[in-house]
Amino acid sequence: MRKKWIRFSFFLALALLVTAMAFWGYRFAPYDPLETDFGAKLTPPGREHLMGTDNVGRDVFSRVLWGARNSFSLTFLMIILVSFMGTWIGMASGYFGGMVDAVLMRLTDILLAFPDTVFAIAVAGLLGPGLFNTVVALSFVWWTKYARLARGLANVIKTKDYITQARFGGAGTMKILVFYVLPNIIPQAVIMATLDVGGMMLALAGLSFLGLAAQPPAPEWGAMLYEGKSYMQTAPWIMIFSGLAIFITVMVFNLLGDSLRDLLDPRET
Amino acid sequence: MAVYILKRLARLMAVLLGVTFLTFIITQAAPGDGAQMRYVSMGMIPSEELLEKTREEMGLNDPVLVQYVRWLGNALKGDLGESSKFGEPVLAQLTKKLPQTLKLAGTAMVAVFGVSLPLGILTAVKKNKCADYFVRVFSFLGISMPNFWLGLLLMYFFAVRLKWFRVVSANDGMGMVLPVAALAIPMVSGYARQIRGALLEELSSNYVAGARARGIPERTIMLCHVLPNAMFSILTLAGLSVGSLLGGAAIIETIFSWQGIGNMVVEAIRVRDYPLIQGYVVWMAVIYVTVNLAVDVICRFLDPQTRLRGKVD
Repeated sequence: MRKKWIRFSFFLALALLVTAMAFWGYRFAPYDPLETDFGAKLTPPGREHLMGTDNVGRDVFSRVLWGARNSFSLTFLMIILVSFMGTWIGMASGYFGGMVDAVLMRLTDILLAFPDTVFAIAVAGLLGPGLFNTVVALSFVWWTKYARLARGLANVIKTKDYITQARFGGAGTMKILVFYVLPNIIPQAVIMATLDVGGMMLALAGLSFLGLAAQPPAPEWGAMLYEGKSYMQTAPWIMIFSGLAIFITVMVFNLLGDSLRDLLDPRET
Repeated sequence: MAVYILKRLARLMAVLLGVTFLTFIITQAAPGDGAQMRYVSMGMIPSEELLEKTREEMGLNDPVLVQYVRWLGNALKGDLGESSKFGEPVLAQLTKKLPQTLKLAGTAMVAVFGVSLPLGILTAVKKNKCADYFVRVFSFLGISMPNFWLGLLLMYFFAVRLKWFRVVSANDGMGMVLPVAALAIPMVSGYARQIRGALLEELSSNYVAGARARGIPERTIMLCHVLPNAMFSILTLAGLSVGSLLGGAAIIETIFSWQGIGNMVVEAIRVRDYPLIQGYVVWMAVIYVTVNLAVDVICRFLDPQTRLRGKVD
C-alpha cells in the first residue's frame, strides 16, 4: 500500500508539473509562436532556436509551449464535459430504470457498437472541420463509457439500505442522487477520467492531424504534426518535437491513471 | 443456437438502423445541402430559385424521416448516391478502395496477434519476472505512442534516411511494411497485456491446481488446458481490435498515401463529399458489427457449456 502511495504521488507530481508547464510554460517561450521570419526558415535546432524553425520561420520550441496550452485545455475541458454528462445521464438511467433506462441503453449500445475513431472522424467530417465540431464529435462518442459505468453502479446503490433510510428520512430524489448516489460513483468515474486523459489527447491530436480539429496557424500539437509532415525531408525536427510532446504527456497521464487505479481499486491484476 | 443467432441478428439490425439514422441526422445539421453541392461540384453558383427547384426535385424539402426511409431503401438496393468528388457511384468507390484497407488492416491484425499472443503467454508464465516487467514498460510506451507520430518516425528513418522503402508506398507488399508496423506496434503492447490478464485468470482456476496436483507438466497445462479456455477472451479481443484497426487505418493511410478507404474518406471530408462519407460510415459499421457478431457466435458455438446446457442465453 505504501509503495502504491509513493508511486501515485510521484506520477501525480509529474502530471502536475507537466500541466503547470502547459498552462504557464508559454511565458518562457523565447519567440511569438505566430511570428514568421522568412530569413530563418527551416533552421535546424541550435542555440538560436532550441527546436529549430518551421517552413515560415516560426520557432518550434515556442509553438510547442503554446500548443501545450491549447492541447491541455481542450483535453481537460472535454474530459470534464463527457464525464459530467455521462455520469449524470447514466446515474439517472440506472436509478430510475424503466423506459428512460431502456432508451438510453439502446443508444449507448449503438454508439459503443462502433469504432470510436471512425465515428469521430465521420461526425467531424460531416459537420465540417473545426475545433467546435471536433468537440461535438468526440463528446458524442465518449460519454457512453461513463454512462455505462454510472448506470451499473447506480443500479447496485439504489437497492442499498442507506438509500431506503434516506428515503424514510424524507430526502427528495434530487437530494438522494446528489448526496448518496453520486459520491459512490465519483471515485470510479475519476479513475476512468484519469485513465482517459491520455486517450482523449491522442484522439484530439489524431483529428487535428487529419486537419479536422485545430486549424493552422494556431499552435496545437496534432496540427503541428500535420504541418510538419510535409517538411519531413527537409525539417524533420518539426514533427519530431511536436510528436515527442504528445508522447511524453500521454505517457505521464497513462502512468498516473494506472497508479490511481492500483491505489483505489482493490482488484489486483 | 438458432434462436440466439436470430436474436443477435435482430440486435445487429437495430444497431445498423441507429447508426445510419444518426449519420443521416448529422448530415442534415451539416452546412450546405445536396442541391448546393451538386452545383458547386459542377463549378457554378446557382440562383436561389434554381436551388429551390433542385431541392424540390431531389426531395430535400420532404420531412427528414421520409428522406431517411427513401435513402435507406436506396441503400438496401446498393445505391448509396453519387460521390461528387469522384463523379461516380459511392458504392463503386467503396468497393474499389475497401480491399486495400482490408489488406492493410488484416495484415496488421495478424501481426498484432502473432506477436502479442506469444508475448502474453510468456509474461503470464513469467509473472513478475524480468520479461514481464520489460513487456510492461514497453506496453506503456506503446499505449502512449500516437500511431500517426510513429508512422512519421518510421517513414523518416526507414524511407527518408535509410531509403529502404519508398516514401510514397506503391500499394504492394514492400510498401505495406511501414504502414502495418505503424498500425500494429502501438496495439501489440496493449493486447499482450490483455492476453496476459486473460491467461492469468485461467491459471488461477481450480482445474489448473488439479492438473498440477496430478503432475501434468506446466507446458501441457498451458497449451492444452489454459490456452483453449482463454481462447474465448482472446477471440473477443480480436473482434474488438477491428475497430481500432479500421480507425487507425484512416490516419495511417493518409501518412503513407495508401489508396484505401481511410485515405478516401479524409479526402472526401476536405471537399465535403457527404454521400461518400455516409457510405463510409455505413460500411465501417457493417464490417465492425458483423465481425463482432461472428466472433460471439463462434465463441458460443465452441463453448462446451452452452452445448451441454442445450440452450443459450
